[in-house]
Amino acid sequence: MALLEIQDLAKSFGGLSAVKDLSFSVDDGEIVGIIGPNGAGKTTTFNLITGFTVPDEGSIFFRNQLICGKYPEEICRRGIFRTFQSAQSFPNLTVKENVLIAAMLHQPSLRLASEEAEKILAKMGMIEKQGIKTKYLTIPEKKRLELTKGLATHPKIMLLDEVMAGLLPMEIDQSVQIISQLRAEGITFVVIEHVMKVIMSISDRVIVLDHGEKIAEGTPKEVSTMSNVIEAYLGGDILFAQD
Amino acid sequence: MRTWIESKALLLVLGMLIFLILIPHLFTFSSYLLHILIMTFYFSYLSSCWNLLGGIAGQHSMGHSAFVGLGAYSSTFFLLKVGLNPWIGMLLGGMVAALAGLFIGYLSFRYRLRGLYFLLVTIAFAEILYILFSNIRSLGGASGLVVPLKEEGLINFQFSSKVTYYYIILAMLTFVILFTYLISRKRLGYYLIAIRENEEAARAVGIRVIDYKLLVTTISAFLSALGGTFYAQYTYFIDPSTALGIGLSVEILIYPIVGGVGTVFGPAIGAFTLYPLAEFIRGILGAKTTGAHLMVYGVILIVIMIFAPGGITGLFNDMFLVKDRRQK
Repeated sequence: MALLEIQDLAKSFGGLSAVKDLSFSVDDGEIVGIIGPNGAGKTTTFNLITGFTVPDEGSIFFRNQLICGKYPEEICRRGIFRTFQSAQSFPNLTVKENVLIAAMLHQPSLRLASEEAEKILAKMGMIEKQGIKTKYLTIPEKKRLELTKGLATHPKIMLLDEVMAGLLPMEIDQSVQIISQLRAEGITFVVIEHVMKVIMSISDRVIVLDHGEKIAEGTPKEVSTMSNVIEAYLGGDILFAQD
Repeated sequence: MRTWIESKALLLVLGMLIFLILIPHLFTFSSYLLHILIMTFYFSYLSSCWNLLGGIAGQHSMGHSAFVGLGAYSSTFFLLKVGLNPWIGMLLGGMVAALAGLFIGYLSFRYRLRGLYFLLVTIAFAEILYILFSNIRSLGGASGLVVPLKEEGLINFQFSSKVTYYYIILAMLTFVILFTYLISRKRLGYYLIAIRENEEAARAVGIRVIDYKLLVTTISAFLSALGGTFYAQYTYFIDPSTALGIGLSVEILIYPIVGGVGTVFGPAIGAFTLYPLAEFIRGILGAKTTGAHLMVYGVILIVIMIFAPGGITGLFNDMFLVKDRRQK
């Protein structure tokens, strides 16, 4: 069985179906991209996997164990970390304290947690920011911090919700590099992204959602040529200039 | 630099404590002045207990009178009925309040009530107890309970000299402030602050938020109830409005707001500023025009909140200590 297995997931909010009959799986060591127009159910899918939203139907297995209906904190403890579309932190605490709190999950003492936090901050290139309260960080810095906090919880799989949005091209390149490096260290990724260049370059596999349903799945190259994907993004009845 | 400030602060606090221990011997206080000091400590204590839940963990309770009242009523009731020793009654009251805290905490946190909704639940709970206790005859109803006079001494928690009460409440206050200080630099404190700062982000890094919120509610309720027993043994009389009324809950809430919510010394600083001031104004105006002292008190509160929205500790930090700087 795959590392993460999602079967027939469904969730509707007051009659509006946000996710419908969604099934997919993520293998160990993979990077899976999720794309789709606004309102396609991408973030809802993350919320369902991480327990922030309870699904109406369907099941989610992580390492062959059913994690559906568990609290977000329990799911994190099992090794799934998610970032939020608008980066979340503890705003009146410093960068170091933010990471320290995350590192306490696996470290028995404050001192060890502090050491680990410093190590991870250095690795993510945030060590010189460690004394700043996170409410003063820029948005790219906040996104980087979320990733850093996530690493401190020793995740097996990371769900990244638009961590590249709003970043400069150079910063995007950096982030891509970091993700590749972390993958090499054994972390699996599921990535929601609107920056197509990123999705196409790092994903092993891409899942396309539209109106809460999976409309396509395949390698980046395959998906980008599928007519229903183009239709979902640009609407029907459009003629394309072939190159 | 920071350790320098910290060691200075530690010296200041120790000096303050020694001063507070010595003053009953240095000066001869009138019974009235000593009473004001004891009540200031009493409210500092209750507000510091509230601060653990409302300040550090950010779960604003406006029904802390319920815990105080449960403490006061438990010890007094069992003292009257079965002659239970008040010290044991104090612990018993603490446990009753802890259970009550666990109960409303579980109801609220399990169903994700927070902010104003949690505040409403705590008010409702305190009001239910208030009405219930006002109407149960064996608990004295609206006229309250009188603590029976026993032989004076430590064992019976009854003293003819106010100085002994002074030391007891000073010890209790010192304990809760020390406790707040210690947990704020431990895992528990970090987790509670994380929950206050951003509950979703706390869950996302694996903090079992419900467990920690329940734990701090229970601790805060337990400690508040000890204050209730102290009050009963000190005044020899409790009734629903002084031990359970919403007025008490509001008073417990005001001192931390004025002093600095979520800080170690804020609640005590607030109580030390406001309680003697209120008594002083009442002394001047109370006899002449009924209610005038409350208007003056209200104006002073407004002025403090305008000039120190972060509380007095916040003001102090802004002026003398670490600026909220962008860069290290």
